[in-house]
Amino acid sequence: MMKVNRTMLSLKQLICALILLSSAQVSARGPSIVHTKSGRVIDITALKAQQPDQPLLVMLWATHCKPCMIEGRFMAMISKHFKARLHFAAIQVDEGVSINPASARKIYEKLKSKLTSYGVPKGSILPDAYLADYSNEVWAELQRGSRFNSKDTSIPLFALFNRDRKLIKIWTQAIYEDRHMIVDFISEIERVLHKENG
Amino acid sequence: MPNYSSGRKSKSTLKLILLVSLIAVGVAVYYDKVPDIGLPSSLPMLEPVSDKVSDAKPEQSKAVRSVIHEPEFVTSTKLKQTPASTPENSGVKAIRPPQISSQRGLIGRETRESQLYQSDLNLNEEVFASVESSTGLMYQSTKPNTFKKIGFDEALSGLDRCAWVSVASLKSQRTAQFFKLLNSLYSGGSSCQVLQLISDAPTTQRKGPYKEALDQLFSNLSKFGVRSRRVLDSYFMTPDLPEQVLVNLSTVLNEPKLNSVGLGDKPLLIFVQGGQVKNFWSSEVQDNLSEFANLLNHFHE
Repeated sequence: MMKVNRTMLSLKQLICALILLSSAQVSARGPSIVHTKSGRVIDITALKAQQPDQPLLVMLWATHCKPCMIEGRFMAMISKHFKARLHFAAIQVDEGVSINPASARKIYEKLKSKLTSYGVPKGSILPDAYLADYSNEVWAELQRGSRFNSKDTSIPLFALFNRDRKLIKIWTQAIYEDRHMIVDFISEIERVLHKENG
Repeated sequence: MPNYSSGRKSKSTLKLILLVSLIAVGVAVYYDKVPDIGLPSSLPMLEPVSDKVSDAKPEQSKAVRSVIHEPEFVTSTKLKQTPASTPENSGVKAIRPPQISSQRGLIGRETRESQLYQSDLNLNEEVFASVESSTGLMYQSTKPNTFKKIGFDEALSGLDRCAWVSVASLKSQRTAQFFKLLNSLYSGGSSCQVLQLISDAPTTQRKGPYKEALDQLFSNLSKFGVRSRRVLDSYFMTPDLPEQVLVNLSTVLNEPKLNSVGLGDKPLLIFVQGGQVKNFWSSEVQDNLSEFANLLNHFHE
């Protein structure tokens, strides 16, 4: 009888340990996002792990944000030019939108037509567009482990990571508004690429 | 015991002053002598300005107001007068304000000057019509709702140092996006002169349709976040199609390449330095980062 009790106790401890372990693993993972084109669900940690041989540029935006849509053409040009050297991911953070593969694909179609109305040529639509529901969580996760701790989640927001996924620079305003901002943005990307490629 | 002698003396002095004053007033009333302030006795009675303005039609009073606040309009067009359209032979008599120095007279002068400007405004329509240029005509505006007819050659004269010349069609869907680009490029200022040529403008001698066309353009620009009119501070409107504008530019700037660009209604940005076309880009420059960087570099020159 005593033996059975001891076995039960150890079993309970094992289950508790497993639960704790799994919860710890979940908290380490970032909020889930959906690839709008393919409908694939991943999280921020997995997104950051993609194409580790290239620096990463992340853009947070929303379809209801006019300055974000205006940035579309500029970002299409940036992603096209640095295609083979820079991994670009645009995360759409339209809050309140349920994220699932079906809704993501519908939103992608809407996004395509909306971008066209903002002068973004057809065929140059951002290839890596994701959908997330809460910008704060996404932004907090993007900043994790970096010296940045900005609570400013105003969009459009741009974050540039190096190959080690160290956050190099953030821009928390529209780039295409100002000539000097455009120059700074392009120069910073080129500087990181130059440094990474020796 | 108090000394009342000084008090009594001052009372008597006061009485004396009062008496003298009363005598002076009495004498003045008797002779009806009013001090002469230089008002001419033959001055015609002028109607109060407020009555004039309220009697005028709303458009009329608006025009009067605009010319008062924008005297350059009259000055600049006066310079463009040709022998065929002088006040003498155009049938419009130039009214000269009388030399009046009183306060009342100043109000009168203002009214008469308004009338003078009004006459000049009507006259300008005829002056505009007589302007001729072998390289095409445009309507220049340096202030909202103020237009002046000007030849291409004259508008582009004096580009000795450096200038940005943009050509955009009023009817093209690309124009708003293009002006967004220009707004971004010009932000922070430019050391070069900036000229915006807007083609496909209404073919009219009146400024009303131009204002409507511009309002429509500004409405489109607001979609692209261009809220200020800074990008269109100095612009020229022309009824010519973009192709014709490029032909005219090609002639004036002596650059045959502009004539054969073949862009259709795609907007164009031209960089002129030392009177010569150094480079030009279509609105497609926004799709090619190398070309875009090349364009940006010209802003640092």
